[in-house]
Amino acid sequence: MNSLYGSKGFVFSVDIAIGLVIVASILAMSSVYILSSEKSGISEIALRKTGSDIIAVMDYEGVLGTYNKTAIEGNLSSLIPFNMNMSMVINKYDTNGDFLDRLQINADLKKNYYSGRWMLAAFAGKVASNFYIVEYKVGFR
Amino acid sequence: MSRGQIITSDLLIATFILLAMIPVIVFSFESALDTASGNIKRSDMEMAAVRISDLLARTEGYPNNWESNASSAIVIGLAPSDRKLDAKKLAAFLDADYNMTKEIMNIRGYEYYFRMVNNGSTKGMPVTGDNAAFIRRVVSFRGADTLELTVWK
Repeated sequence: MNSLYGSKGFVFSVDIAIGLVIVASILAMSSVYILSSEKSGISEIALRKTGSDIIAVMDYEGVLGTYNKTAIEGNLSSLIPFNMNMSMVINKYDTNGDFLDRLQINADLKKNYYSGRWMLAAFAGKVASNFYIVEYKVGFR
Repeated sequence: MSRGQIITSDLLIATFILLAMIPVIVFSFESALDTASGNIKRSDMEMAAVRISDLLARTEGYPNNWESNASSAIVIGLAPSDRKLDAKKLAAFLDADYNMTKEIMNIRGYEYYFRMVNNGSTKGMPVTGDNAAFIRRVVSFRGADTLELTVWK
């Protein structure tokens, strides 16, 4: 064989192998790209919107204004979908804008979360008594 | 002479491999195109679900008193203020003709199913199709409630 074909067969095999690897790589990469584009969709948009919705509704329903950790955590657990997790820090300020206190709700999410802010005022009668800035994080469990 | 034979065998093998690869490549490409096409359709449904849920939960609709004559509605919204639903607007939406609401929501090619979880009210066609985009929104309506919307085909 070698006397007839020399090293030509070997070179040809390497060429084919390289060609096959390249074609397979291109097909694999295009498949991964197409399939990965399917993953990021409504779920991530829904995650962000759910976080924003929950904070807004907890404000409208007067839950955040209680500044009570037990009440807020209880209400949050009843509103958040089972596959999501949410934490928040509520910073309390007086009407002059001076920082008063901070409340941590649920364990702080460390990674893969979306964050947002919400501001609300607590009233004593018709007069604002305190301001709160809520910094929340929402992610998938 | 022998060199000519070597080239011929090379050519035959290369042709054979190329012919064998063509169906694989064509199949892979068609499969990828099908997936991409499905993703685009799904994305369209998902965007419709997000858009409609935003309009329902965060706007009062247009005209702002559309609930007094649902057939005059240009935009259907249930919330006179952000994420606080109004009972009259919700009732008008639930009573409105299903196909008319689809026209207004601009989802003629799809069906939808709307549900208020705590309130128990529903509207639309329960999901029977293979493709569906589901979104859940937390809203204020007689206490906290959850609005669920599925756009499907």
